[in-house]
Amino acid sequence: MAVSDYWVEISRQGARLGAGFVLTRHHALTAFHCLRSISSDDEDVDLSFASGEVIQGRICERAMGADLALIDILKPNESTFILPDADRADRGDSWSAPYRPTTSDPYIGGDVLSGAMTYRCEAGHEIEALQLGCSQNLGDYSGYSGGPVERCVASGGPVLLGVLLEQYPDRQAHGRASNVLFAATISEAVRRFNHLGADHLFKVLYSDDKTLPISSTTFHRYDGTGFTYETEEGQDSRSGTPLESRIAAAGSILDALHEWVSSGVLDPTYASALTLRVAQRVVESSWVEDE
Amino acid sequence: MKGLFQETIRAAERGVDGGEESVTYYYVERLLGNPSELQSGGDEGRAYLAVLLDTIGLRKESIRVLRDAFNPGKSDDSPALQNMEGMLAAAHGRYKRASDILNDALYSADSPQMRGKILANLAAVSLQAGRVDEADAWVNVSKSIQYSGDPAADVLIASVEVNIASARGNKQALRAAASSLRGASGPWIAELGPQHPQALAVVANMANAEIMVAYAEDSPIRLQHAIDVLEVAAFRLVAELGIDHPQSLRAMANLASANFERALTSGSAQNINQANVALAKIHGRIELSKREADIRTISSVRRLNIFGDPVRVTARLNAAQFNRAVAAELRTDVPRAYAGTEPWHDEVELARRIINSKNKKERNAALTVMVRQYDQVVTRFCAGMLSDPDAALDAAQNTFAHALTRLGEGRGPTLSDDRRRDELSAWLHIIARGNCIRLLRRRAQVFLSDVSVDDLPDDVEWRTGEAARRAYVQRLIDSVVATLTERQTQIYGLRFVEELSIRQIAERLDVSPRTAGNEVGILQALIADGVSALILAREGRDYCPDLGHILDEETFTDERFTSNLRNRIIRHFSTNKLGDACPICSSLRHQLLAPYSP
Repeated sequence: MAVSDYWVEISRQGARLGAGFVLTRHHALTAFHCLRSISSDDEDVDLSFASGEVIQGRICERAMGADLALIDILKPNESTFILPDADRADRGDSWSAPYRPTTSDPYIGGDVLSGAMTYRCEAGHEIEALQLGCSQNLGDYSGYSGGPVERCVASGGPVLLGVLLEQYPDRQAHGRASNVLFAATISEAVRRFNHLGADHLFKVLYSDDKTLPISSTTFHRYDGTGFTYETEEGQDSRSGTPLESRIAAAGSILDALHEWVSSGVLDPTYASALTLRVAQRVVESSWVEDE
Repeated sequence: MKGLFQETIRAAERGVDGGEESVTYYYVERLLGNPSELQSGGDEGRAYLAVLLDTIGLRKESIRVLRDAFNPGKSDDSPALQNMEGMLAAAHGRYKRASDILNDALYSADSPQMRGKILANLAAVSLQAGRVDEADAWVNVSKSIQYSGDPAADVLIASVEVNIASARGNKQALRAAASSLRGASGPWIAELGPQHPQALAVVANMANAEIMVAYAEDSPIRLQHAIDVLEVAAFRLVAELGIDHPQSLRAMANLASANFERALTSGSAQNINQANVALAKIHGRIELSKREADIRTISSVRRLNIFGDPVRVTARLNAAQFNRAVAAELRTDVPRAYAGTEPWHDEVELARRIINSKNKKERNAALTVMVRQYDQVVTRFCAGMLSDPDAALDAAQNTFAHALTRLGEGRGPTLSDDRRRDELSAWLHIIARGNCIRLLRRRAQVFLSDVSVDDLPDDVEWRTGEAARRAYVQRLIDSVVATLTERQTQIYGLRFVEELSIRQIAERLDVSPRTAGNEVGILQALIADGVSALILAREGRDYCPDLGHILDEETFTDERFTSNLRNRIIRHFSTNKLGDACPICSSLRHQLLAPYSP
């Protein structure tokens, strides 16, 4: 797999959903809204590379508030994957998107207007985003979402800057997009997933079952109603004692509370009371276990 | 922490994010001139500021912040600051100096926690310097006295133990060390939080230890598992810290090495090739970053431009970064005092405001405009004199520091009526020229004076075989010259043996100076590429199957380097019109040339 072949088209049963790109041998990243039509009981998708190779994937984690989703690659390629270099963008950089929805669509690109701005995306959360000026006035950029944003460099491989998320509407012509696009920075995108967090990697590294791939061991999953802490097979966490499981579950609940407060769903005062109750439950259960 | 200290920290943080370094320099100079402000930062603040300054290349200033700036040559006797100075020296490859400083720090440290930190750093520095037994001794001291309580120090000691066991091939010790690394790392990750870059670096470190254990136990499944984790951690580090950060480079290099070893055992040519490309790519980056400092030394060989590429790359990078920063600043942040109708662009008016204005705010705004307006011009001028982008930036910073000091003392340029337009610019250029000459003299002294070996950085110390290196490079050049045409050989003799000027060569060849200049330029590039091709032919066969194929077809031996082979290898590694340069060899040639570079 050459470095230029890291972006994919995501589809399901032949229907195109959007773009994405491979981050590691086991993970691909996309915009969550591209996968909105997929229900939680069957999360399998097809990932098609530019070379024509198709591999199977499964949604493993959703960051709905930031409009991002992480996909497991179920049968990773055996060969070494050459990652593009990732970097932070600066204002004035030239950018381009290597993915286009069909061969009859143009490639898009332009200048970075802001390299790391706080932006409240349509999904509700404030994210660290790139504001991109697009040189191609298409009026509608749907179909490009989820694809990578690269810095244009004269020599060497591409430099990955972010993941394309949104177009900004034209304030005068309703129904038409302006030539301003927004992308999550790559550091923001990878920060959003528990699967890519240090604590999860720590657990995976010392998991007793070394045959399990990196993504199918314990993880936090958000299914639209709350976080669960489970294995791919839907069992309780394999790691540690029941108390550790309860602590992990409590952590998930606290994360969810925090997210709801950030998105304005829950009143902070009420959330504080709930946080205290969660902590009390965990402490009480630890006493029971000790006895 | 007082206001100036905080301002300096903020300026340095902006500098790390790509902001203007001269602004940081301005703040640092003010801070260093003010004892109470500097002391107000405390050990922690000073150590943090020193790291920021070191990151943006203000290395001398970072040391001055750590040391007692008001009693030069005397240490502040703060073990925390000495510890930081030692680690900065180690980060720049000056292991002997780092050990000396850390030993002093250990002597003056009185808290067990600080001693634990320093002992861990001493062990790590010894290991980095390749002194495994010494590292082991420091680890034993640390364990016997049981200085603990600092998770970072515990993790560092455990990491050193893993590396020592691996270097000695002691499986049992390796397993035990990996286990204690796991025990030490867990609490620290929990303390840092799952998204903290340092936590990711700890995970990458653990994954690397697991890779060593997997090799020792010959367990492919365990190996794959650890590589998968390392891959995620490395990518996250690159995304968070950038590819050129030492933590990212270390994780990426470990990943590439592990993938390469795995590909070798798989036996698949395609896998080996791809792993090789990844390895060459990351090693090329590491070499390039190391050589940025190395390339500064002066050598007669440099005239042939053989080792010039990284300098040009660095210069381009610096110029691009600099231009972006200046453009961004000027678009958005023209000081209000000079926005609108004020003739801030008028040089004389600007100089008058700097020198004569009684209004402090207006005067400071004018000084800021002066720095912005002339920084690029002065930097270019210094780059022309020094042929070294980093030194040029330093010289430009010094120029503005001197200029600001002189203006503050009322020793600015004289504004005469007949030479109105050039006064300020000429005055700045005179200061810049003086700074460059001082830097050039200092460089010459490094090579010519009888400074003690301890005063030299380790990399210079290492280069005691200078004559042998130069002789080898000359033999490489001779082999390449032997492949030149008759006319090219004649031009080589005129230019590089007789050392004639372009005009003199033109007269000898009976051509125009422009034609002579062009021919010399083409010849220089050809010899530079030819030396790369020769080194690749001699040392690159094992890395690239395509190169091996070319060498077999041309029946290459050390004595048989032909013009045809030279051209084929150059075409193989150069980016031609189709852009299909071999990624392995285009990176590999820099690595292979590195040991022979000045």
